[in-house]
Amino acid sequence: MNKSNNQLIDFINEALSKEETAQLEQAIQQDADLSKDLNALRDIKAQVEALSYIEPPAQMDADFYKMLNEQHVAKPPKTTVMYPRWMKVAAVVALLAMGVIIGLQLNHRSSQMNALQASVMETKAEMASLMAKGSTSGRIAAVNVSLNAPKADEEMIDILINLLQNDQSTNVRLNAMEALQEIGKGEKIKQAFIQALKTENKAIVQIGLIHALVNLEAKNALPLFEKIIEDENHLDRVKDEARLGRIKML
Amino acid sequence: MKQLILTAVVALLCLSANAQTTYKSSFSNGKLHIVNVNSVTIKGYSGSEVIISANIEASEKEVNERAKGLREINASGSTDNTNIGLSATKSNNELVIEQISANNDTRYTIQVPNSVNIYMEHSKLNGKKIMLMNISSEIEVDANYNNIEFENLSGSVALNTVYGSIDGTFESISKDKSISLYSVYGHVDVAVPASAKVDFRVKAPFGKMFTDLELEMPKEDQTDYLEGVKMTGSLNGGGANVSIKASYDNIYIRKKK
Repeated sequence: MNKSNNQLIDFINEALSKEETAQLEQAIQQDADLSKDLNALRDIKAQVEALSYIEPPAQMDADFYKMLNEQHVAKPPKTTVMYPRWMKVAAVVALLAMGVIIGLQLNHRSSQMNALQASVMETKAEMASLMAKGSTSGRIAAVNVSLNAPKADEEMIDILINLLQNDQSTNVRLNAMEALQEIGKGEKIKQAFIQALKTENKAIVQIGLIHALVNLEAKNALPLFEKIIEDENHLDRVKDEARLGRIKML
Repeated sequence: MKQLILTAVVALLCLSANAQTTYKSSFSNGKLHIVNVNSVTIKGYSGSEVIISANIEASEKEVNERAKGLREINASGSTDNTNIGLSATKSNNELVIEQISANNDTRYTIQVPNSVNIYMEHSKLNGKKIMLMNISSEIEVDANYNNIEFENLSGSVALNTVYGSIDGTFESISKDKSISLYSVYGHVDVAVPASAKVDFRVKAPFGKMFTDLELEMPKEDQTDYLEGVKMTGSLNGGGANVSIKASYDNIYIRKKK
């Protein structure tokens, strides 16, 4: 970029004096290349201005100042480099463009997060509506809805755990148990299954819970398995499953 | 000729030996709760009474001289107030039908108004076949030893049995109905219309799955069991949720013929 191009940037930014502006306008009329450069710079400016301004998240400020402090601690050797003016302008334009692009990406990600959150909220509302019907089929349908959700949040998991541990219908408890194996994770699910197995009185759910705990390698369920094996009230098949589970987990 | 006479005599003897007796109760709104009825066919119909027919075996009709003047009572305190070996009690929109004797081999047929939801549970050792027919209301079965068969169910269905198998045909499956079929040691064999819109969720941890339907499988990888099969698949773009599990046996999903 030559001296005239620097003047073009100032011209676009209306930073020239009246005389300089008049001279440059005359030069542009006489020089086709200069006119082309001016139009190109105007396009760039228009594109940058067309991008919406995004408020950066508060955490970005914190991270920025943290980075500044770290830089301050590192104290790099002080050097002074003189850059031509056009490079400074280009750098400012580039920084501005980068900022806008990052902002747009953040905005896009935020939109995605909002859409996901809205979808999860919608799923929970649908579950609540189905459960409010008060029928077995309604509660099984609610469990099915949770399986089709894009993401399971804690509240959804808690609803399923509540159904598993307290619902009066064996079929609802079975479906909740199967759903939790699909979308639940970690120690919370293991504990939920152990608690359910302690109070469950139907063999079909007891066997399912033993299988699930073995699959999760929940070794903290072993004392409960021992208790089931010793308990006369459990069906032989349930005791057999507990024995098998104990062997698999040892 | 002698053979013909002999056959007629035997037939007449059989008719007199197995008596058909009926009990009726006016009940058209609420839930029918059937408890520990060993052998039963449950049929939906467009009426306003629950009608129970009992095909009482000759052995059941034998009079116990020692029990004369006494009444049979079961663990829940119920007694036969229907004269067909069942207790019937009605309260809070629920009609409870309970078999009194666990060793009773009588085959019962229960006709249920279409407006009544049905819940059947059986927890005894003597569970035999449960047959479900022409039911459009919600039906739920909770069994241990019974085999469960069904045909022409159009409402929501939730069936489970520990030792028995589940066999049946759906005439149609509505999107707003949920279907759950669950057996631990038996197979599950169901036929569905080829045009049905269904999302299947199938689990056979120690078994196999067989089908003649063109199921669309999801693009992402499915987590399978080490030994058996676990999958989801849609029929005709998906719709009604159908969950099937057979823990130690196979699952068969076929086109209805």
